[in-house]
Amino acid sequence: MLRASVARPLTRAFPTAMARRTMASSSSDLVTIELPASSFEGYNIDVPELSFETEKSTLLQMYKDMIIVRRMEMAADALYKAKKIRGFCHLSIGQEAVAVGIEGAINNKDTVITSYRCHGFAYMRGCSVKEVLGELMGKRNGASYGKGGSMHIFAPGFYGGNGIVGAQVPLGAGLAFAHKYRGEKNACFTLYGDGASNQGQVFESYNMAKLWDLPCIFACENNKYGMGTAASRSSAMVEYYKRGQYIPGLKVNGMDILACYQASKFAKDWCANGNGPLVLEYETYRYGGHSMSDPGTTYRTREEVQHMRSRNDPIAGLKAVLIDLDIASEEEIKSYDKAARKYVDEQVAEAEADAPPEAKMDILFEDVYVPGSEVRELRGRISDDSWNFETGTFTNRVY
Amino acid sequence: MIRAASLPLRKYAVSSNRFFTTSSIMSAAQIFRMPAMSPTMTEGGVVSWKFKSGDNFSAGDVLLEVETDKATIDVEAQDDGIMWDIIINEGESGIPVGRPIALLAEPGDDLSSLERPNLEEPTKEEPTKKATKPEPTPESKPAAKPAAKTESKPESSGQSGEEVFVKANPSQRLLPSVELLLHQNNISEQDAYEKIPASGPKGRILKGDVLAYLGNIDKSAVSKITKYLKSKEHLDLSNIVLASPPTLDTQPKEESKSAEKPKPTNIINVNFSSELGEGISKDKFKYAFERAVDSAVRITYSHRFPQYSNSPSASSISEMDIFDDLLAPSVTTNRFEVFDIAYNFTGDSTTSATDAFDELLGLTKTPTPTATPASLTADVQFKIKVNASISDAKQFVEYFQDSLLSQIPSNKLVISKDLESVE
Repeated sequence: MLRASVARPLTRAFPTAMARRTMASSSSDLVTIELPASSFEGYNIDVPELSFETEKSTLLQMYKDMIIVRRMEMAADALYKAKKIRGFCHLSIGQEAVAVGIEGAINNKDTVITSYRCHGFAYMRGCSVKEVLGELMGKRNGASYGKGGSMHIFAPGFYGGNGIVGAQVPLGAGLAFAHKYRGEKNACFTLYGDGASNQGQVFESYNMAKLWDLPCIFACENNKYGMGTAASRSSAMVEYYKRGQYIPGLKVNGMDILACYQASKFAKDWCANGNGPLVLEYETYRYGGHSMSDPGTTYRTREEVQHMRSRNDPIAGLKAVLIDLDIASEEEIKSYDKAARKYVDEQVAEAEADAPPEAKMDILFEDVYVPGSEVRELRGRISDDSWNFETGTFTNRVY
Repeated sequence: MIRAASLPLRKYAVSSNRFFTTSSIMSAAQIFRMPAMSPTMTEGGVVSWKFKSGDNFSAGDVLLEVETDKATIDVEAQDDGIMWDIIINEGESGIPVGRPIALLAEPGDDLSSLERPNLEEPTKEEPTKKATKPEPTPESKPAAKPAAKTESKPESSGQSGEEVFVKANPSQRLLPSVELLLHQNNISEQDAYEKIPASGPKGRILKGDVLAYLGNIDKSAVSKITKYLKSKEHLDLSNIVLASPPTLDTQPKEESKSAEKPKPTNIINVNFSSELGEGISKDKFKYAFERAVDSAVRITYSHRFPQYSNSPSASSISEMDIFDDLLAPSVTTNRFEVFDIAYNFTGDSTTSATDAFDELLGLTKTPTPTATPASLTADVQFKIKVNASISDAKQFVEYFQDSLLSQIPSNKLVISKDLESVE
């Protein structure tokens, strides 16, 4: 009885991923991908196979996901500039290949945790565009019920954007510990930026992960600039994949979705097979500023950005592959682009129409505990702040 | 929870069917609005357009330069497109954020057949739209109970009265100290609320209340402390009265001063009289006396601290001095203070009003006597306040008196108190 009841939610959560795979294999359209030799660089490890087979539909799905993520980020940019999104907002335009590549390589039982640049990961882990944008606009139907904002979006298997630089890395090691503790053949992707990689807690996590052989993939998204400082100006060693010292590392071309996909799959298998942790470095690039307050052109030239856009764009790269392998025609791809744009526009409109959370005190406390597991009273900083879950009011109400 | 589980389903359900609809592609131009380039920007000016009508641009190109109150910022295109029409021309400023400034078309759009969008401000419709929409009810919210029971007001039997104990208010959380004490003495929370009278604010049980209830301390101690605290809760200004204007006449003041009997032990009264010599006026005498006091003070201190005799900073410090400094208070500590200097001149008083300046100004009507009589006598009275907390203060005062009196010829010296008694 017990087993059945436990298994049910898992099988419920699966069909999406399964459907995708089985549908692809039924059409049995496998293609062989040849990656350039510059895609990977290893540190104390043999690099993954440069040649691999995959389904055409997988590539197509990756393309669709990437354009939706980019459209969503562009919509967030426009909404921010229209003052409909306030506060923090960090966009990942240019870095889509990392989020999409990782999601293609893992399943629903693997876990992901990342920094504040999290919208793409949230979408890939199951939030709808409407939920992400609604959250950014502080709407009640947002992923965190409009109370988290840009940096605090969560989904099943996705442990959030985290606002504190580098603080998600020990949490990710903990998630990996949970996988190991439960005997699951899963891994945790712990993402952090090149700026956060100099944080002490990253190295503390490395140590414990290696000590206990945790299935943790420390994935550094190196977008070359930590806020406004070039990596080489802030880091003594910019080969972030070698930072693990006693942990093998792998550098991946993060502007190539296929390399990201192959490396992520390799990393997941490495960890799931009990080889301990792995340090990945996705070498990527963000086209926009660090946040919405940063025009992004004071510490790098516009030519550099335009060069990356025109030569290394992950979406344009995959588009070329799709056309090259005859998976989709130019017209089809254009129609996908239009459809993605239309879809995101609709989702924006829906998100905008949502109501913000009511200005009621109990809304503040409703997500502290899983409903039904609350303590009687949540103590506040001062006794007047203490919240009584039974009565739904402050215990010592003074105002 | 239900919501979370259904998420992946929803996402892929959407993605599977949305792409294969190559239906009508909207052929309306997009409105490009004045962007807020910083969170505080409310309006901006168009400095220059980098594209003309009809030009193609690609993502990342600078479309225009916007001038805000802080800086001039390049606005980049997020996407490929065509500049169709510029609404706000170069050089216009004070454009509020959100006002349409240009119309953009998508690449490949036929500009001639493009439909011009409605540029009406889409502002005021939204509230009504929202109002008609049913409020989305949060599913997982714990059913909000009717705002709790209205705070059971503790019947305070005397805010101003004597009684400080009220019935304990059960909606007040027990303090950790109280909780521990109750637990140690096997008193249940219900019993505590019912039986223990509370002295804390709003009927809160304090530790003292429990101790008093247990008999460990006297109940009156609790009420005493509580009353004291209550008396300090508000600043009582009712006893403040305006100060009476200061009396100009000094004479009664002197009397009252001498009248006050219980004198502080560390104040020494000194009286002496001195005969004023030839050509010395009262003012001159006063001046000379005060200078004598000053110099006597200086001599006294420099006797003890010779290194400070000429300057405020030490000129030479011997090893002995360092130890002395450690043992004795520093030179900056005042050992004594001279105050309340009063003069009483007896004898021929004609010169009292005479002053060289008065003469010059012609203030005196009567012709001034040229010679000052020799018979003028000054009675001087002053007080020395000794800092009794400093061990060497006594020697300082003695030395001061000697040095002062050596400068001023005096007789009839009366010192109110023997220095030996100063402690």
